[in-house]
Amino acid sequence: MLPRLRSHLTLVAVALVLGLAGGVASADPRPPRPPRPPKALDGAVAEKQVETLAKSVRWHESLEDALRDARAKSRLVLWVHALGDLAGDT
Amino acid sequence: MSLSHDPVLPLLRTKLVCGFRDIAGETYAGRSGLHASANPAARTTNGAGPHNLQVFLLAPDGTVLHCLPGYWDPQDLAFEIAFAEQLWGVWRDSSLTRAQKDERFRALHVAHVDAHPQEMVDRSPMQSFDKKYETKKRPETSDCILREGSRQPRLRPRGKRQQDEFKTTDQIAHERMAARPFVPYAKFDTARFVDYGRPLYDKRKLDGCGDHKH
Repeated sequence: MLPRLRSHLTLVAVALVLGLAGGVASADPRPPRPPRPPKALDGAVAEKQVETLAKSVRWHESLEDALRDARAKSRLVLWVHALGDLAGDT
Repeated sequence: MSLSHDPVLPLLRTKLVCGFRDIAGETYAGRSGLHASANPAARTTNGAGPHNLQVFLLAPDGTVLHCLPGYWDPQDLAFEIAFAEQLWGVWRDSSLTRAQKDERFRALHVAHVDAHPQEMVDRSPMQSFDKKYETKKRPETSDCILREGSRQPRLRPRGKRQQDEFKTTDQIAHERMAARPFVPYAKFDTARFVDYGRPLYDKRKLDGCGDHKH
């Protein structure tokens, strides 16, 4: 697996893992306001989720390889561009 | 986006082939300061940070079906992945001419804006600093601004602070894609596609981390 990928996946994997749960029940007849998710995901949780993503999905680093794999499996390619330090930070 | 979260993670495991490219050094890549993997991750809106992060959905021959700039909520990302599958069907349809395929591509992308549920639109306002940037740098030409006479989306964000003239990022992404029917990845003009808002994405304001000055 790509250890350095984890740094990038922090950026891609966690920002909205916070989800949008937590709608507020109300008797107000007006249309409900969009739910307010927490402002930040705990760093330890974020790191764990990045680790899960890195381990549970095969990430090609070569587009050619990804496309070849996609042709063999008849699947689309999800190709991520991310900015970051390959040593572990993004 | 949240690739590690349902409903996206199962798609990555079973329905897609995944790949990754470090865009550091690219002319269009943003500058947002360091973010360690164990730092808190801040909540943000769809399409925030377009210069830092892009997700392409490619046909197996390398044709760009869709591109999502910046962060995307997992539900919305899954919705757009399903849409890309639809476009793939068009691309593979041997009964259509290339011109017909392109026209269908454009029409489907534009129409998909109106298929977005209210919650997705609510998750897709531009960041305030991106709006300011567009207003300051290209007030007359920015395609991020809803102008009189242009196509109006079915839904607008409900937030009090979003009652302005700016399009939501889901609309921006689809409109820009509509102008790029079935382009090979190698020829896709990523720099122009992600060019909205500030190149510097202020993560410090989002999660309180980082010590860069700007």
